[in-house]
Amino acid sequence: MIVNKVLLVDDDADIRRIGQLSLQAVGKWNVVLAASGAEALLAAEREAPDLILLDVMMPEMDGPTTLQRLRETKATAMIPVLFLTAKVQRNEVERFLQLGAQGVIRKPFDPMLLPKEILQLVTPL
Amino acid sequence: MKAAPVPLDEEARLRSLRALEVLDTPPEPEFDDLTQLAAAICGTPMAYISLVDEKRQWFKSRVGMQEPETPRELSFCAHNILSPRPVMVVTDALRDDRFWDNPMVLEEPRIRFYAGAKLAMPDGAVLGSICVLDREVRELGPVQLGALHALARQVVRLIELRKQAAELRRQDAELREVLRMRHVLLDSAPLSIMATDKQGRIRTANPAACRLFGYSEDELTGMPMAALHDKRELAHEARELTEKLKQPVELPADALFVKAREGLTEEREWSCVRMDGSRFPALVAVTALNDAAGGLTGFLSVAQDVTERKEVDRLKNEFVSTVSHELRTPLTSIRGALGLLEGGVLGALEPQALEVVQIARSNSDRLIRLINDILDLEKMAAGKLDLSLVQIDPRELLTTALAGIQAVAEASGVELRGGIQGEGELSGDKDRLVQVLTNLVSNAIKFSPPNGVVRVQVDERAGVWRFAVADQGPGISPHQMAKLFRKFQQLDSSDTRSKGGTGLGLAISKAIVDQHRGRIWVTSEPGQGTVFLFEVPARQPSKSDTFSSITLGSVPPKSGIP
Repeated sequence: MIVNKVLLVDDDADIRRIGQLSLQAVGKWNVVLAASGAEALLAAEREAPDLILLDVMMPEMDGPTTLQRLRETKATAMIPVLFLTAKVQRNEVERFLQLGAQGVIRKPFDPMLLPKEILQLVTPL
Repeated sequence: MKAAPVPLDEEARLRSLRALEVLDTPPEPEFDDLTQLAAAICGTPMAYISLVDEKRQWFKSRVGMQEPETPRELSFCAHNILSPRPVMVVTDALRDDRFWDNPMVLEEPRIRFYAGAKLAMPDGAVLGSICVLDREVRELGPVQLGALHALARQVVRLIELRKQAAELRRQDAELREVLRMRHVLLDSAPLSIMATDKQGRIRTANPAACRLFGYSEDELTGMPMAALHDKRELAHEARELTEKLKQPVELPADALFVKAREGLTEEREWSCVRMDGSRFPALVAVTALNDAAGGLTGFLSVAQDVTERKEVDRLKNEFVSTVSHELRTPLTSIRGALGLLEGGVLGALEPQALEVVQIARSNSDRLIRLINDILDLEKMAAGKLDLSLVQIDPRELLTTALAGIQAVAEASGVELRGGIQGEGELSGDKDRLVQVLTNLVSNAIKFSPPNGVVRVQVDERAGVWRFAVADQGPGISPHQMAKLFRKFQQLDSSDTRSKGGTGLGLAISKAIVDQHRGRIWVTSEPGQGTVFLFEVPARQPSKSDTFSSITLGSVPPKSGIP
C-alpha cells in the first residue's frame, strides 16, 4: 500500500516529536499529530490519513476506545490502525488485533526502522 | 537355723517380680478375699500372700499377721520357692531342721505349722507363695492342699491381670495425650481443616473452618461440603470434568472429589460461600481418607482464604505494569532521539559526536533489554508466564532462531551450523523456545574466538527433543557452572560491558524450559569449549491437566500454606 499521510496519536509530546521526525525524515511521509483520542477522531475525519499510529494508554479516551469510535464513523472506518504500546503483554496484543487493529508496534521503537516496520504490518503478505 | 539358699535364677526372678509392680502397693480386696478363703478352707488363724524380695518377704495380703514384711532369712516362703513340689507343708516347725530355732517359731507369732502353695508365673519365675500358718501342729487333707494350690493359681492370675490393667491404663493415657495434642494442633491451625464421609458430608471441622465459613461446629457437622461452594462453579466444573475424563461426573459436588478419589491431592482455587452468603476465593486441597485396608472412608479438605494474597498479586501486577510503562515512555524518546542522530537523517555528525551518540544509543538499547528481561523474570516468578502451546516443527524453530541471529554471527566473524535429526513435531510456545535457542546461540557467539564455529544440533529421542549449542570458546570451570542459571550472573564481571548482556538470559531460558517441563544444563571443560543443552518433551499436558497433581508439600512458599 502507498502511504502519504500518517496520523500519529500519543499523549506524550516528546514521543510525538520523535515519531514525527522519524516518519518525515526516514519515511518521507506527511505527518499529522494528535495528543488525545478526541483530537485523533477529529484529525482522522478532517485529514483522511492513510494510516493511524495510535497510542494505547492515554488519559480520558484510551487507544482501544478511540479505535472503536474510528470504526463506528463511516469516514474513518476503513483507515488502517497500528497500536503503539509500552506494555508488552502477549494476550493484549491478541486482544488489540481482535479489536480490528492491523498490528502493534512496541515502544521504544527504532526511529530508523519505524517506517519499514509500519509498512510490513499494513502490507498484506 | 538354716537360711534358705538363693535360687539359681534369682536375678531373673527378681526382675520379673519388680516388673510386675506389685511390691509395696496398698492392700487390694481381690487379694484379701483369696487370703481369707485360704485361712477359712484350711481352718488356720493366719494366712498371707508372700512375695520374696531380695532381702525380705513382703505381704501383699495377710490375715492374723501384724508385720507388713519380715526379713528373708526368717522366711518360710524363701524355702518354699526352692521346693520342687507345688505345695510345701511343715507339719511341726520345732521338728524341722530348717526352722526349729527360727525366732518366728520360738517367739511371736510362734509358728508351728506352715503350708504354702508357690506362686509360679508363666515365665517360670516363682515370686513367693500363698500360705496358711498355725501356732499348733496340724495336717491338711488332700482337698485343702488342692484348694491352696488352686488359690495360688488365682493369685498368679490376679497379679497378671493387675499388671495388664496398669499397662492398658498407661496406653490409654498416652493415647489421650496424643489425641489432646492433635486437638490442640487442629484447634490452633490457621487453616480450615474438615473431614467428610464418603458422600462428602462433613464429619468434623476445626475452629478455623468455623471462623472461615461462619458456622458453628454443630452446624457444619453433617452438612455437605458442596454447600460451602459456589453452586454454579461446581456445576461448571462437573461439566468440564465429564468432558475431560470421558466419564460422567453427575453430581456437581463430585467435582470436588473426583481427583482425590483417584488418589491425587488436588489443590486449587475455588469460590467458597460463607453462612451469610458472601463469597471468597479459597485455596482448597482435597485428599482421600482411607482405612487401614486402603478402602475409601471419606475426604480431607484443607482450605484457606486467599482474598488478601490475590489482592497483593493484583497490586503487584498493576505496579509492574505501571513501572514498565513509565520506564519505557521516556526511553522511547531517548532511544528515538539517539537513533535519529546516529542515522544521520537530521544532518551528518562529526566523527567524535557520532561515536558518543552510538555509545549512548547502544546503552539505551541495553537498558531496554534489561527492563524487558526483568519484567519477563517477574512474570515467571509469579507463574504468570502463560505458554501459548502450538504444534511446532523443530526445523522451523531452528531456522527461525538461526536466521534471527545470522547478522550478529557475521558481524563477529562466527560461522553458524545447524543440524537436525528426528521425527515429528513438538508442542510448545514457539516465541519462547526461539527466545531460549536465540539466547544460547547468542551467548555462544559472544564467547567464540574469531572464525569460530557454533554448532546447533537438534535430536529427537523417545518423545523428547534435545537442543545442543556448542561453541569453541574458552569453556567454563565446574565451580562457575553452578552459578550460570542464576540471575545477574556473568562469569567475568567485565562481561556485562564487553558482551552487552543483561545477566538474565540464562535465568529466563531456564524458567522457559522449566515451564515446558524440560531441563537445561551445560557441559564444558576449560579450553575445550562449552555445550549448552536443553530438552523439552514433544507433548505438553493440556491446560486442564496441569492443576491436578500438586500436593501441599510441593507448593512453593509463595503460593503455599503459610
